Parts: sequence; C-alpha cells; structure tokens
Amino acid sequence: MTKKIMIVDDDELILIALKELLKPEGYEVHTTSSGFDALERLKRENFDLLLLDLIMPSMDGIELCRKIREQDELKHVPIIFLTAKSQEEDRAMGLAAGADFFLSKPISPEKLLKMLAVAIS
Amino acid sequence: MKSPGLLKRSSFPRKLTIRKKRLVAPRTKELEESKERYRSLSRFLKSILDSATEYAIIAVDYRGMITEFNRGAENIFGWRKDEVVGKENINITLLPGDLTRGVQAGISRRIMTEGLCELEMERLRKDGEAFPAHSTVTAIRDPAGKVIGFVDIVRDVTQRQLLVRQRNVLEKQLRETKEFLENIMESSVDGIVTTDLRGKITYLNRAMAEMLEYTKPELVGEHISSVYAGGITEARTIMAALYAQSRVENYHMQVTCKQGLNLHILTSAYLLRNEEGELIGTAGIFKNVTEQKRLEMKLKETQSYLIESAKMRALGELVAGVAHELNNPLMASQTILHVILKNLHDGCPNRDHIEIIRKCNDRIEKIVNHLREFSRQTEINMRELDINVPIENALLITGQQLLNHNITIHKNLNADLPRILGDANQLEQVFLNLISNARDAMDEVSEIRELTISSSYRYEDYETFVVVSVKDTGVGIPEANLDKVLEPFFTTKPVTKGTGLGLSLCFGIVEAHHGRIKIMSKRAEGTEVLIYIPVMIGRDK
Repeated sequence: MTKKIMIVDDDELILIALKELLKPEGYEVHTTSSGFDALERLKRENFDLLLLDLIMPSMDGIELCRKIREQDELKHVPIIFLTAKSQEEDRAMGLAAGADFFLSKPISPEKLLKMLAVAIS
Repeated sequence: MKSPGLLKRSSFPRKLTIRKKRLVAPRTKELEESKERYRSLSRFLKSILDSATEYAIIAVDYRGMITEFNRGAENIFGWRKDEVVGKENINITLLPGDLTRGVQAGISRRIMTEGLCELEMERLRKDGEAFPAHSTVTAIRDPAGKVIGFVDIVRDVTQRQLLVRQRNVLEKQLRETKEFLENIMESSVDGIVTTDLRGKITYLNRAMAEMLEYTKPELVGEHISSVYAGGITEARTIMAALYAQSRVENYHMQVTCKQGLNLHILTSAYLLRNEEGELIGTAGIFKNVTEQKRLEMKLKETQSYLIESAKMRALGELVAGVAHELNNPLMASQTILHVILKNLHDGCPNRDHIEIIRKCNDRIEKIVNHLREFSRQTEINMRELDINVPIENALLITGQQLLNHNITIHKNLNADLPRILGDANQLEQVFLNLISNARDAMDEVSEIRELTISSSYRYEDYETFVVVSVKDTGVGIPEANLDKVLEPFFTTKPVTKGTGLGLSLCFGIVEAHHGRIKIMSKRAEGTEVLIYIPVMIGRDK
C-alpha cells in the first residue's frame, strides 16, 4: 500500500525538491506551506507521516505539532522535524512538542530516505 | 670724703695768729674750692637726676619717706615732685597686694646681704594703673655705714615686655607654621623635593624617599638627575621649561628606584624665590602613576579584548543567519541533484558536469557546516576537568598525522594541575585547531619540525590560570598579521585548505571558558599560542 506523506514547509524549493525525491521512491506526497491548511487536511485525510519545518509564518512547526498531538486520532502519526535549525534547545523543543525525530538541514537525500523508512514502519 | 686738712685742725698752735692767718687763708681757699667742687658735683648729679627722664630715681629715708623724686619719676609715676617729697611714702608706688605680702622687707634683706636688689615687679602710677617695672634698689649709708635710706631706680618696661611678648608670639607662630607645613609635606602621598639652583637636593619628604626606596640622608645633597631615568638631559629639559614658564605641570617622566625599577611619574615643578624675589631653587611634586599606568594598559587590553569579542559575537550571529538562510536552497539543490543523477541514463555526457555541480554543493555544505560550528554559541557542557584530558585526546587523533608530516612531538604536561570548569569536547576542538595550524605552519619549513605542547599553571592578575602552550617551529606569523589572525575568515592558506575560522572558533570557545588567548610569533622561528583558562574557584585540585 502506498504510504502518504505530508510535507509542511514555507520554502517552495524544499517542497519541490522533496516531492521529486520521494515520489520515485513510491510515496504519495502532499505539500503545503501553511500550518492551518495542514490541520484542515489532517481532519479529512489520513497520513502515514508528517514532515514539518520549524520556522514558518503565522503558525510555526512547534505549534502545529502540538495541535496535531492534541487530537486523539492523530496521536500516533509519526512526525519528523526537518529544519535549518540545529541547536540543542530547538531539538529539545521539537521533541517536547511531540515529534519523533528531529533532522537538521541540509541532510543528504540518502540519509533522509533512510530516516523516513524507519519512521514510517 | 674727708679732707686731710680738716682732720689736722686740732693741732693748730693757739698763739700764732699771723701764722694762723697765713695758715687759714689757703685753708679757706681750699674749703671754698672744695665747696665749689661739691656744688658742681651736686649740679652734675642733679642734672643727671633730672635728665634721666626714662629712669625714675627715688630716694627714701629709712622709713620709706620719699626724699628725692626726679623728672623721670614724675614721668613714670605721674606724681609731681612737690606732691611727694617729704609727704608720701614709697608705698604709694607699690601694689597693695605686694605691700600686704611684705615685699619691702624682702627687698631690704637682699640689700643687706647682696648690697643691692634688682627685681622686676609691677608698680603703681598715681592714676592707679599698674605697669611692669624694672627696679634697682641700693642703700644710702651715713659715714659710719649705717643705712639711712634707699635709692630706687625704676624703669618702665611695658614696651620691652610688649616686644618680648610679640617676639614670643611671632616665634611661636613661625614654629607652628613650620611644623604645619612640614606635617603636610611629610604626610603627602606624593613625593616633594626641593633643590638649589644647581639641582642639588635640599629637601625631600617621606613619600619621595619611600617611593625611591632611599633614606633621606642618602639623597640630600645629591643631584636630582641621579634619580631621573632620563638623567641630566631630563633635568635640563625640566629646568628649561621652568625658566620659560616658571612652572611645569603634569610633566610625564620616569624615575629610577634604588633597586633599579623605573616608576612612571607626573611631575609639577616650580621655581622658588626668596623675599627679595631672587631665585633660590626649585620645588617639585612627584606623583607616582605607575599603578595607574599599569591599570590603564590593562584596561586598554581588556577593552580591545571586549571589542574583539563583541565583534566576534556580532559576526557569529551574522554567520549563523547566513548559514541558516543557505541551508534551505542548499538542501533543495542537493536533493534535486540526487534525483537527476539517479535518473540519468548510463553514458550520459552530462553526468560528469553534474558531478562537478555536486562537488561544488558539497564544498558549500562543508563551508556552511563550518560556519555553523563557528557561530554555535550554546551547547557548552561545563564539567570539572583536567585540561590534560582534551590535550591528550587531541594528540591521540592527530598523532599519526603529525608523524606522517615528519613532526616530532614534545609533551610537557604537568600531571598535578588544578582542575578547571570546561567543556572537554570544545577544548579538544581548540587543541585540534591549534595543532593543525602548527602542522600547516611547519609543512612550509624543511629543517626542524617540532611541536611542543605544555601545560602548567600560574598566578596572574589576582587569578590562577591553567596555561596550555602549543608551540611550533613553523614559518611564524608576520607581525602585520598578528592582530588579524583571530578574525573570522582571515587566512593565508589556499582556498581548499582553510576557511579562516579555526582561530576564531578557538577564541569563541576560550572566551566561553572565561579564558584568554595569547599569540606570540617570530617570522621563521615559529609560533606559540597560549591558552589561559581560570582555575575553579575554591578548589585547588
């Protein structure tokens, strides 16, 4: 069965690149630049994995992550932060908000694919 | 005064009248002459009596009744002669208190034993005013030697006493002023020196002697230039300025102590003149500003260090921002490249070109990672540690590599160092950077390649530091570059070899440990980098 991934990032280039990377690997990739939009879509559809940016306008990744985890049916969806931030406290904050992994950009495509496979299984 | 002629009268022959007459005539003449002599003597005495207007001469009979009272007595006591002679007792010139004490009896006694009595006492004028008087009293005796009266010669010494008193007051004031001034000079913390016109020291205060570590006698009489670091030239410069402006203020100079140490001094000097305005010498005030100077230097050093670290922080933030902004496009680019490379069919001629782009990306990524490392301000994990541990770790990693470069390692680690509070990983990073810098510096020299790493501890500026020295025998840093090596991106290495961030990174880490970096270098001799990390307070080991 095809795994559905939602990527939330305010950087258009990242969305395009990740889509190009993940689609050939057999993932169904959905993208959005808005945390609100992401929440709306999570209510209607099921996703196997969420890939979130940390710094975003209007609603940042941390807030989005908390809001997702507040909903019972979304409690166990794997969440990965993929962010340009790399400091310890960012990592700690991300994990405290309920994420499963915290990855720093730039990350090699091979490593990212490996992490996704681990998280989704 | 008895005439021998008179004494012979009893032996005159009674019968020989003519002979008598003959005899009497010269006698009479003699008598007349003698009378005349008495008269003139009496006039002489009287004129003395009356002309002695400054002296009161009073004669009294044995009861004290006044028998003579000269002009001087009238002046001094205010009585007229006719008011007192034969009418008043000498007691009217004595104070009632002295009378009741029986002062006259004492005077009489002294005259009897000593022949005369000289004394200073208060006397009384007619108007009742008492005045200080000097008095000489002698006895008048009849031919048989019996005392029939006294002569009292009195002088009004009011004026003299006044003068004496004034002189005493002036002397006291002078003494007090002198003591006062000496007290001030001796208690001054600044050195005070006076010299004569030739420059020989005539006085120096305690502070000056202490400052120069000499005793006062050692310096008095010496030429002032003997304590000037600039010697006679300095002394001439000051004198020239003094003659030109009559004073010199806050002139900066150095003096040399007995032990040979030079002190920084601010001098103010003046010309000294006597009452007539003639030059008699110079006076100088010497303010020891050595400590101030030292603090100033220290402050300047600290200031430049603070500026440096503020610059570093600002740069750190800038670099972090840049790195962060580069991350997204870099990642997108790397990801797309990955996809393209994967999709390329075998033998596609563009594969090599795209590989080049990937290599470029890899280089960018490396630089960005280095930038991030440089800008990382947190994540310091402070633990109590022995600084030898990160040194050993760094040497462990680089040891083989150094040997490959024909570098001999000398290790002088003090095994008994006080502990510091630090991050072992970050300190290891510092030593790795320093070692790799040393290696690069020695790659360019052929002869001796020696890396010496030492650790020790020392007390400096009221604090104990653990000091690590990393010393090489490399090419050295040109003096012009010495103050730039800590700046980020400053490098003289080829593009692929360094980003110019190594020492900046070290600076940031050492700074986070409240430490210091000192770099000493000599062209063609090598470079020594000293890392100072403060020892944990309250624990020596």
